[in-house]
Amino acid sequence: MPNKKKTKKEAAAQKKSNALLLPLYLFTIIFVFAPLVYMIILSFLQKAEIWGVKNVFTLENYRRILEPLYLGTFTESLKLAFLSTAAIILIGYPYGYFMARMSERWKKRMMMLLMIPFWTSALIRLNGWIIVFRSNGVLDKLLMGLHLTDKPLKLLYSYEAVLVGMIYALLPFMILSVYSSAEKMDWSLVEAARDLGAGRVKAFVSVTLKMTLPGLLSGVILTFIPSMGLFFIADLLGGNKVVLVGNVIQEQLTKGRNLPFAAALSVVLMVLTSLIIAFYRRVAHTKELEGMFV
Amino acid sequence: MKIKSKFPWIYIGIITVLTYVPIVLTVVYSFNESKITSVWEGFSLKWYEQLFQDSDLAEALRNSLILAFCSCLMAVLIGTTGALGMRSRKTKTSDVIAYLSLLPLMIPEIILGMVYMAAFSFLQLPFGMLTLVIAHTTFCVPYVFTTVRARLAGMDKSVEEAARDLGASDFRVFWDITLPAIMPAILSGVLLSFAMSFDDVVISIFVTGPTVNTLPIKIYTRMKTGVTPEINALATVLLAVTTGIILLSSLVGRRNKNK
Amino acid sequence: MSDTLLELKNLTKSFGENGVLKGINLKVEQGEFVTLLGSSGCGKTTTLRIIAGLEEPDSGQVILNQKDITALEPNLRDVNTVFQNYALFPYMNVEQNIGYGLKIRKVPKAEIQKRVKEMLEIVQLQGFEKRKPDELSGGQRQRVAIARAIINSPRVLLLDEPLGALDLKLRRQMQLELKKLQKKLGITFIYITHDQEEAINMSDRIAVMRNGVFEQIGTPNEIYYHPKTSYVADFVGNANVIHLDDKTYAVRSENVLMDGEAECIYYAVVEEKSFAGGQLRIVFRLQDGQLVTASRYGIDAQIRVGETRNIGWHKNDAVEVLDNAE
Repeated sequence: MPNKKKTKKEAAAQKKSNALLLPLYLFTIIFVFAPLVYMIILSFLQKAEIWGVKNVFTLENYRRILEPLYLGTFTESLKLAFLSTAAIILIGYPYGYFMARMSERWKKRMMMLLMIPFWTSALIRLNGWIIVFRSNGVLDKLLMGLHLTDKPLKLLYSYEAVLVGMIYALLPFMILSVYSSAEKMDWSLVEAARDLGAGRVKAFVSVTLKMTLPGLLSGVILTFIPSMGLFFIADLLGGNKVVLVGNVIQEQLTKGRNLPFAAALSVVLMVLTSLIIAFYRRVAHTKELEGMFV
Repeated sequence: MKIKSKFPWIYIGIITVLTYVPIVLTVVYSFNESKITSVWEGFSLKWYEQLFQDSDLAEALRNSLILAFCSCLMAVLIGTTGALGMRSRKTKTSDVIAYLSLLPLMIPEIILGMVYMAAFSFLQLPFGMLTLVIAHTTFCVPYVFTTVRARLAGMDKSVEEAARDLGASDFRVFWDITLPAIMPAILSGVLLSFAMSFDDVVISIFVTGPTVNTLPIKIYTRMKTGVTPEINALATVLLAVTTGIILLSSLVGRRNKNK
Repeated sequence: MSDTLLELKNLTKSFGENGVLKGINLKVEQGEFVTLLGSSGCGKTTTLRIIAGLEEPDSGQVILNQKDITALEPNLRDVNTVFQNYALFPYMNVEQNIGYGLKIRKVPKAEIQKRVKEMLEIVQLQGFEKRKPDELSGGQRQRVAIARAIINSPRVLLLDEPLGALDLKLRRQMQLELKKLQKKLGITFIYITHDQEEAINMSDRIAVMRNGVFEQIGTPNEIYYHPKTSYVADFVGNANVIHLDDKTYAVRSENVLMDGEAECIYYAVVEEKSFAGGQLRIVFRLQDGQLVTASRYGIDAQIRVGETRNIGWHKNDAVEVLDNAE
């Protein structure tokens, strides 16, 4: 008899938590899971003449990705993503690390200084770079004023401009990730390592780097993944000179009206990013991304 | 440990100044008389005048605010109930759902944009505010869900048990104890969601209809067409608003601490 | 017994494969101070949570005032708890914390104010009304937690290691205060601790718990002087458990004599000598290898490690116990 009562009480609790979970379950299945599955299905279907799809199975879309034109955009995107991520690490890691060692008061001030650009629309910040890079713009004027060059450099709509835009847009993510893991670090460990005879470099590699690795890696993910898809940066700062996977997908959807091919491109891009995330989990031994929710 | 050498300060100083260069330039040139950004022709407020008369942008702003508000509201409802429901249970299904619900943050935005464009046309939903809200809710939910879940995991259950022990019903326990405890998490989730939704171009472009424009979409299309003195003025206004909010929230935070 | 207030009948409980309670029985009288004593993991907290209604037993009954309350929700029981970490409501001030139970019961505001004021006087926290829990010291939080529970005049007050987080001096003081409070209010206390001194100082009766069963229930005197098992003898009295002629005896260290006056005398070698807490402790090794500890007040310089002595004890001081050591 008491056993029966128990299951009753437990069942009531279960019912309650089921009711609470229902919205999340439904929403996630209908609007996250199902659309992703639909995308995968789409990628194996044929394009209809004008818009939409024919229900005929084909591998044509994936074969097409292997064409040099599209394969080129993938390698181009990966190259840009690697370059910008590397630059972001070089700039952002020391920044976050130094910030974590400041006094509480300065930490707060720096946080505010970081937050203002972070919370400002990426587009608006890019607008500032357009002013800088524009032909006869601020940078041209500055360089000519210093007599470093005698004619405008045509910096806007170049690969370098896109690179700068990417770095600029994604740098805060790296800084915040590194900062949040360096902040939690026990500095006495570094002192202990130094005390035990480790040199500055050795102490840094064996203690500091190891302890901040989760933050660094999560910063890499938070910058690498978006950098492959932020087509508007390439669009606005690169003109049509820089074509990334994101731009191709966008073009296929808007101008090419080829849904299945766009889907196939997306699937490949998603597989790539999942591999990166899986790698992160393996190396960092963690599920959550550090500093993702500051 | 205190920083001894000067190098870190110089380093951080240079990078920070560089980050602010484009922002400051935008502000400066918003007061430029000339239409061309490279030439300074004197101080003028004419772009602001134009901006405030621009009904197109005003409507886009209204749309963006409605969109961000609705997505946040949905995200709070779905994310908070989900976090509460998962609190006392750990099954395979709940793990899978929790993982799936985070996917929108881990997938490049461009893919989400394409996925929703395809899915919504398959479902024959009318492209416009409805599709925008659904798409934005998908990436707002994880912010609320994750922050609330983390807060609940760190919460001392005995405080709720104490309330129950003192005679509070399930609802009273939630209202008096649990809700105040998770409120900061909900708020910070909402803040992030709002910012992300208000800022989003990539997904919005794919899921909006021909008649509904959000502010970022409008800014993007204008920037693509080239000369944008009005956008400089708009950027300055938005910057002022964000800076104001950040300063205000830090002031409020400080006052709360002092109390 | 007519004035049995609370009765636990054959309670069992397991979490997964782990049997935490294996059939416990206890009767508690109105106004009694009963302590559940045991080391961590023995099931004492689970017992308390079952009485509070925060946990449901797999089988068995909880009877309060002749009513079976086993399945009753915790908010409907005439029982209140002082939690181990106090579990004060962080967003409410002292006044709101203490008045919470009355507010839930929709007691008029003026009445709540009056009773909270009385409570603050009882626990000596006048002037702290508007403080938040994080602005209080450990001892003050403790008092708030107690006031918050007793303001509802429960039939039974459950206390889960309420003094565990306090330092020794404050703990001693609070022990006395709690005991006084209990006498004054006449509320039945069920108290959990792993500290045998605390149990002996405060309780009317002690239930020594191990591995989900009560090893012995009795007054502090009974438990201390007449342990039934070797575990109780060791845990409560810090007694030597000695095996002689297929029997097991408990001899407390202060009863081990070294001057040859005892009735039972053994040859023993001094193994170790140490001074702690005002007491000299000497460990002897008997000829069959068993270790016996003796204690004395003061420093006895006469004894050297390695020398052989005659030790022994009076027959009355060796209590025969059931050997159930692990």
